[in-house]
Amino acid sequence: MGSLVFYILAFLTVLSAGAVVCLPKVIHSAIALIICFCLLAIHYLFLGSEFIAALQILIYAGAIMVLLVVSIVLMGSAFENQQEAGLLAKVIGVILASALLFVLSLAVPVGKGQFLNFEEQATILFSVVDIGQALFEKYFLAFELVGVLLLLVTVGAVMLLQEKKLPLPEGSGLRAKRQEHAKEAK
Amino acid sequence: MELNELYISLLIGALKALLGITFLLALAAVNTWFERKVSALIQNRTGANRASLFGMDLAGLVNTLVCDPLKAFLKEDWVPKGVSQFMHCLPVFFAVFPVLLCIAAIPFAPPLTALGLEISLQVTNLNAGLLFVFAFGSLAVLGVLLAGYVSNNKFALFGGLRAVAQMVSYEVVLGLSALSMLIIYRSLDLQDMVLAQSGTFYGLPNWGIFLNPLAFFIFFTAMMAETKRAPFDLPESESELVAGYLTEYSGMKFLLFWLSEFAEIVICACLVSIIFLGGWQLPYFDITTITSDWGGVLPDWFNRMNFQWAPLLGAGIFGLKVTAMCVLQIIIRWTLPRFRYDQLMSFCWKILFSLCILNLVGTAILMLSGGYNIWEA
Repeated sequence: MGSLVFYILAFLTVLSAGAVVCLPKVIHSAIALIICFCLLAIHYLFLGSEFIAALQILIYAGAIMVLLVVSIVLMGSAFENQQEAGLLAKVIGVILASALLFVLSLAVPVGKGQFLNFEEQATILFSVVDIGQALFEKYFLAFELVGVLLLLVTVGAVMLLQEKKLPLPEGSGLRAKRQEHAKEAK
Repeated sequence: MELNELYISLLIGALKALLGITFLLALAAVNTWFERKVSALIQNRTGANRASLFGMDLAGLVNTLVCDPLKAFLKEDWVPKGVSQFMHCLPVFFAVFPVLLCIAAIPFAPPLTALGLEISLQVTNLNAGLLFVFAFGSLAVLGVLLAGYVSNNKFALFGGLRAVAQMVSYEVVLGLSALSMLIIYRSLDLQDMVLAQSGTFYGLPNWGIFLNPLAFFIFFTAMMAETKRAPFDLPESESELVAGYLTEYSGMKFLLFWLSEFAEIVICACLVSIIFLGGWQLPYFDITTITSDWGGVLPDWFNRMNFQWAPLLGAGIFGLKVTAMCVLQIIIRWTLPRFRYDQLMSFCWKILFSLCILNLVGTAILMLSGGYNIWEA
């Protein structure tokens, strides 16, 4: 029964991932991506890692997709009228995508029969405590460095967003105009 | 035998899910009645009292629970131009579904022992319970944003964008104030949090509100902002934006948005009661120690049943706390005026955020210096 549930879930996940690529309107693709992320979270739940599942929804479906949908809402028309890609771009895209698929497929140990036997794998629990211990003991340096990197990125984003204050020409500001009016009134 | 156990656990799970969802929806519906009656009380009016069934108006319950939904059913289902029916319905789904899921992680009462099993009175016993609630809370943002987008209307879009900025900002504060409580309780599991709040602490009950009052105020404020109600109702401020993202929604779709708002209030009240008010615990008294007979008042056949009082009492106490928190939110909503938008943002990022960081550092220092040793006590 477990593997039947897995197959249905896997089919739906691949279907929604395909929909992200194939749907013509960009907002529909975004919604398909949200569904895809939620289905991945269900996969994690079946593998017994509730923490990862909650984080998957919190970060991907909650935070990143909100950012993406906001950008679609603000610049929707910019996405709609795009020209179709040229032949060269298509060929390069197919080559890159198949290369990525090949590399990813190396990571899945299909031949050893571990791929489908997920009921057995569900006994390996990834609780909050396990992940916390791994982060703060084994990978402590990397974890702290990522924190520094994120801080750098935040500061950089604020720097980029800050408007450059150009010196205004004399007598162009609102206050200067008011002072002029005041002088005329006198 | 094994199959039987599977069926029993499935049946128990289904019963618990039914109980949870009934509790949530019933309290959300009663909240709409509270809303009308409390607002009337505050504004010195009578409130809903016109509709009656068989000559009974039940203090306005008929009006709010029978007539209002009936009216919404009968209204025209309006879809704006250039929007498909499917896309117009999708935000409603995103608004209602995550909120209803949140109840799954809420523990109602101490565990019950029946059929030789210990049944935890919580729909699912997740070890990341609080994160689960936050995760689905963050999905609710998408509903509001999409509602603004698919309404094909500038007022609605503006309301949707305001809602996103507000909810995302206050989510940061919410998470940080909850983090300081996680440091104290050392768990993400909501049932563990309730259990950690038994006993006393320098003469006061060992509740989150006494352990860390600042976190309680920040958490409660951020929760009020997450439910998008006054004084944080800028996404749908009627005087500026018609009704914000709700402008193009009518009939049942509007009613479902409304229901999700009241369900959010209930979830918010549940979280506040669990993290800060001891969940199903009573102060100075451990309800799990109650055993049977009440000094021989009850009949003999009842005592022989070995009835467990703790789950029933616990659920009652929890229900009372949640209801009180719901009413408190409604009172605040009808008492305080609305913020201006820049005030809202600077309040969040300049005041609440800095208070959160200070609180977090302070809690961590106290925890390391042994100020909070609630688990050892």
